Amino acid sequence: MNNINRRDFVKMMGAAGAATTGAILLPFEAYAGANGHVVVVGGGTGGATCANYLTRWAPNAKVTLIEKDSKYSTCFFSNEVIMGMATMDSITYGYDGLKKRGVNVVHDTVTGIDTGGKKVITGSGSISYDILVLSPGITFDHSTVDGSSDAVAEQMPHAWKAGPQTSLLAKQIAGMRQGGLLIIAPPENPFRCPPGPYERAALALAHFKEHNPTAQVVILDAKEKHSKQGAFREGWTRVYGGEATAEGNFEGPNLKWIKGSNGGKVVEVDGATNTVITEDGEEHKGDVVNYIPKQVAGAICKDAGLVNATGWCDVDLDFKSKVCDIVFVIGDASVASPMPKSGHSASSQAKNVAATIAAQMAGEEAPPWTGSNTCYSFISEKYGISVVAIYAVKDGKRVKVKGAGGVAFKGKSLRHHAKEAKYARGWYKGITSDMFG
Amino acid sequence: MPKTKQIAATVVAVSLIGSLAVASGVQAAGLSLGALVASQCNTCHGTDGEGAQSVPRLAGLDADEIFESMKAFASGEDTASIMDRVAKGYSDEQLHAVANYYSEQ
Ligand SMILES: Cc1cc2nc3c(=O)[nH]c(=O)nc-3n(C[C@H](O)[C@H](O)[C@H](O)COP(=O)(O)OP(=O)(O)OC[C@H]3O[C@@H](n4cnc5c(N)ncnc54)[C@H](O)[C@@H]3O)c2cc1C
Ligand code: HEC
Repeated sequence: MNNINRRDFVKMMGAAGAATTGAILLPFEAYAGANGHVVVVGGGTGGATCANYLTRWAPNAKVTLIEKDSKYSTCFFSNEVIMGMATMDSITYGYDGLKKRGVNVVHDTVTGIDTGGKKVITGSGSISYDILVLSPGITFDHSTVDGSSDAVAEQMPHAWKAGPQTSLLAKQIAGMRQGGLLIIAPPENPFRCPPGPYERAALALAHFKEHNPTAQVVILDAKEKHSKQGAFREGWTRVYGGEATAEGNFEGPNLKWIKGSNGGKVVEVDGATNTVITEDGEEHKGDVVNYIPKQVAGAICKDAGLVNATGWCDVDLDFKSKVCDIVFVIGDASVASPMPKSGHSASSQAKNVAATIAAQMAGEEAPPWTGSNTCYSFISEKYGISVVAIYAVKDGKRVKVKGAGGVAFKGKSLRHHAKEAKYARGWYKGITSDMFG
Repeated sequence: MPKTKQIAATVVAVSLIGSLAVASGVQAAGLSLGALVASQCNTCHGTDGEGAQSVPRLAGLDADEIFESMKAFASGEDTASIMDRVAKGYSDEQLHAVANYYSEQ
């Protein structure tokens, strides 16, 4: 792939570019006329939101959204689907809303990016762009666990991309024998939705309480600690019983969480026997195994040469790729620290990038970058918890605003947690309306 | 995609004429500070603050009321399940801007 940075780009533009745009204008602005063509790759949380806000803020731009699937199922609330509390239909969306807003939605797979020629290569040809935004989500990295592969997910569903995997895991959970064992094996950091596996365990307990009261849930974690750990433990204890153990695990009547160094870290998987092997050599056979592989940026990022040594895309404060600063990368694929890989983060980044693009097209300064994240999780259908952070750029760095955000727990009333559960549903409505119009 | 290519080519040609957009003062609709801050609230409150199921509507509320609400959430004077943690993250300038923005929706 042909990667260029801004300096090379300036060279390529040569005398003609310099003469027409004037010395003070950067090439990015030069190509981004008020009615330029913005191509967004990936119609998920980041991409759909970005396209939607571009139609609002850059009304003269032509916006093309390239998404391989004709429908998108949100990962958010897919744990409810897995545990039989919501339907697949209720988390699945089409692109008519965006089309009505004037977005040119193309269902195709991007197989390459020619950053020099400013076009993306698709299954059926190529599409030229003035500005490119990538929000392709994640790809699984099977290199660190023996036996791990995309095929294994047909036996041991990860359900970490919502769709057929969600339905498969839901079917396995519903059909699990009485008193059976569900193993959930989350990967090391960083990964999509850090609280997701622990919400999934809690909702599994809620489901089993009703349908399979002697079932057991074991979380074999690659990590030493996890997201919202204090609030999850408090919630698990209050709703399902159990407590932290002296070795630093968590143990309840139907739930165990085993930390990495206590034999939680999975190093080998065998789909044929539904078995995972941990670092200490122990074999764990489950009735249902939800093995969640390690993750890296969506494959197209690597193919385009945009990833760092760990497989993710480094970006600057505007979320322009550090490899090619005329390409924006948002969502899970980007290294957005301190923002986590969440839908809310992707949405926040998408709007800021839409603002940057709209402002540059209009020859204006964008308002100062402002970011936010909230991850709501359910302990039960009536017990919600959340983590909040507001972000700003300070002294050339993206930082959390001090004194804001955090997790509300430690003895908060059940009424508080009932409200969080109620508002989590509102959040879902909000974020999806921002995506699909 | 011959059609797309053609459009893109035209765009490049037009934009190469130079900083026409700047000179003609093309405005990006809604690119105020308030609109960008509001976009961060919309994730919960719905696009344009129209309300999202259980999360209240902000569009059309009085600007002073929104601003005072935010200050009361931040100080703890008003209890909240989440807005206390949100409100503390914004400056008065941002809060005035977002309050004005929603009051005009
Ligand atoms: C179980 C679970 C629960 C979650 N719960 C929450 C939650 O409560 N709150 C929260 O904030 N986040 C949650 N998340 C995380 C959230 O889903 C992701 O962080 C978010 O979707 C990331 O957005 P994205 O745009 O980066 O990727 P995605 O939403 O995955 O979108 C990527 C899109 O790009 C498309 N694509 C990829 N490559 C190509 C290509 N080459 N050509 C064409 N199209 C392509 C894909 O088909 C996909 O539609 C959860 C995740 C999981 C797994
Ligand atoms: C994470 C979701 C979330 C985000 C983000 C969010 N809000 Fe809220 N907002 C709520 C919820 C939930 C309530 C109800 C009070 C509570 O329990 O916190 C609320 C209440 C309010 C109220 C009181 C409305 C009324 O009628 O009583 C105002 C004003 C408000 N929010 C403004 C904002 C502004 C401005 C922003 C952005 C800077 C924002 N909110 C961001 C979830 C959110």
